[in-house]
Amino acid sequence: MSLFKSIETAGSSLTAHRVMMDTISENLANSNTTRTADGGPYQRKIPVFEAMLEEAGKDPGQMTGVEVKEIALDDSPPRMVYDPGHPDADPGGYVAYPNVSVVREMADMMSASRAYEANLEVVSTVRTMWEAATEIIKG
Amino acid sequence: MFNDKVWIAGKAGSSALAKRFDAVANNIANVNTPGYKRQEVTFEEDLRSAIGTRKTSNKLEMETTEKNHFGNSGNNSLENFQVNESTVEDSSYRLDGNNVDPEIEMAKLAETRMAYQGIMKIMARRVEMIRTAMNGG
Repeated sequence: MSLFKSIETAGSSLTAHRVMMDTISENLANSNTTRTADGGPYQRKIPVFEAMLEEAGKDPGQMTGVEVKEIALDDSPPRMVYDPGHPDADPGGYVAYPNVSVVREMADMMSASRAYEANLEVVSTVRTMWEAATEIIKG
Repeated sequence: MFNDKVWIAGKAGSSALAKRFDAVANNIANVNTPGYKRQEVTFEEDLRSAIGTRKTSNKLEMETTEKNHFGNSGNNSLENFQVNESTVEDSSYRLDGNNVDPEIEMAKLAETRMAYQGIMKIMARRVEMIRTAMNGG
């Protein structure tokens, strides 16, 4: 039934925004990491969202929520800070810090948590609507 | 027993509202998807004309039990009633090309819920009436 699909739609978005939250917390945790396994400073990660389409079923092509397509890396240049005493400093005395902007991550975090709340609201609304529908049987 | 106009209109209205709810849920789910364009479901006008002339002329319509009878067969048009689903491509105030406005969607969510609950109340009342009649008052 149609209303159950809404719960799945909202659920897919809850998952996507949780992934976004995880990515943001990873970015924030590594905002000062100058050394990674691949060498060089940590690169900011970006979750890429894509609207999900129904493949099979009653009406294919119908939108059914959102999914995280991939976690992309931000290729923008690292933040160069002059710190000759740092073990990772280059010959010129500059240290490459991650391209993570703490302010931007905080703003993204707000947006993710608000979107999460909005989707929770959808789920609870579906519940009240179902309760109203079952009232018919009770009479 | 359940082929009266109120019941059929209630069914058509509530399923149309459920479709709108679906579209709103989708829009809210994709609030952070770049380039997403919001979906909209419109049905009020079509439903009004499917229900019949009652709204405009304040007159009761005659029942049509034969296809040769005069007047529009309201019940038939209600059964074939369809909602319009469309994707709105209007300009966006956001830089990522997404045109979902969370506040408007939340307002539509509340509105749809209230309308749906209203219809469900009416239908529940109808069942209650039938039940009363079955129990002999």
